[in-house]
Amino acid sequence: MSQQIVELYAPERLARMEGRRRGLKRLLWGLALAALALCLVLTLGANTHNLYRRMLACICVSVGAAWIIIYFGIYGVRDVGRELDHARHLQDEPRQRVEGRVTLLKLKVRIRNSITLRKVRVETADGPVSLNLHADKTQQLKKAGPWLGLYTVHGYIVAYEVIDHADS
Amino acid sequence: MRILKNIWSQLHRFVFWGLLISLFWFWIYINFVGDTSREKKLLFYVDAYELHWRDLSLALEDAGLPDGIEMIQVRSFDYDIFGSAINGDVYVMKESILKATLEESPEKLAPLSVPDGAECWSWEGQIYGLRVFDPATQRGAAEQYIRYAPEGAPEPEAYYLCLDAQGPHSADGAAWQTARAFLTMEENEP
Repeated sequence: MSQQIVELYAPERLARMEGRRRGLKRLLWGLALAALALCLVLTLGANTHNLYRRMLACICVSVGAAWIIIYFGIYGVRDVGRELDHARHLQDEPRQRVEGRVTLLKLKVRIRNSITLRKVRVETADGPVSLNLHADKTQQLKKAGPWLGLYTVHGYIVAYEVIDHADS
Repeated sequence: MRILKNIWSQLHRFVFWGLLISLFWFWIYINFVGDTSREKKLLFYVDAYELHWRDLSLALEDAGLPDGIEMIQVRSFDYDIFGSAINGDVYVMKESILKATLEESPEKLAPLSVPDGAECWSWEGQIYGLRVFDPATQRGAAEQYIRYAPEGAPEPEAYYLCLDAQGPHSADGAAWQTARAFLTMEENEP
């Protein structure tokens, strides 16, 4: 007997992710403008006495801000954006159901140079099937147990349900 | 661990943008913030064994900037500048170079009007140089910023302060005002 279907990309979860992404984007813009303003103030107040100290301060402020923006811009804005696009795309496509014993493989692959996927092997009644799972959903699937009914779109797992089995 | 891994994978971006931003600020400060137009700066060339140009520049600015002058740049004197289009405003040069300059192109230096009793270099009845380093006593002006001769030099030369005749600040008095500030500089530690 199967239980409730758990959506990996529930709309409210995607909305939360999008909200966090937008907030981070605004924060990074704020940081860039604040760093620019600080550098302008430092530069306008420079004179022969403090010239080199001010130049060093401007370099430290702007390079530090740039590094923070690069890091969070890539991993917090760009990559999350791509993951959201991918997840939304998967929502619109017809699903297939696969049922069997699930094994999470150690093999990881990256798509679009940012989305990390974990390979999943499912032993079905018709033989083994290889599927893909977003890497950050690994723990969620692991906790659900080995016997699962999986809903997939183009080989990507989008939802699951725990099924009762004699071995579980 | 994950953060370090992420940083490592984007290291090329961090290095590239770090260098680009550093070069940008360096360019801005050297060319715009730390410099100004020729009309607003005074060039002070010093020929000496050792020169603390930055400290001397700050001390001269602290002594008071002439009207219309925003900065005083102290540079090492090179005799070649007389052959180039560059005009300084104030020079501190060796006696031999002063003599050679007056023999070759006397129009480069401005005649000075100095008080009686001052040690001067005269040429054809006019004073062109004020002595700022006396080899006999080994004493000189602004010694905290300038070492005129190496320690124990057998026959050090005298040094003279001169003004450029064609410099943009010879006529407006700014060059002479800075020269006076240099001559009356107190012997404070730099």
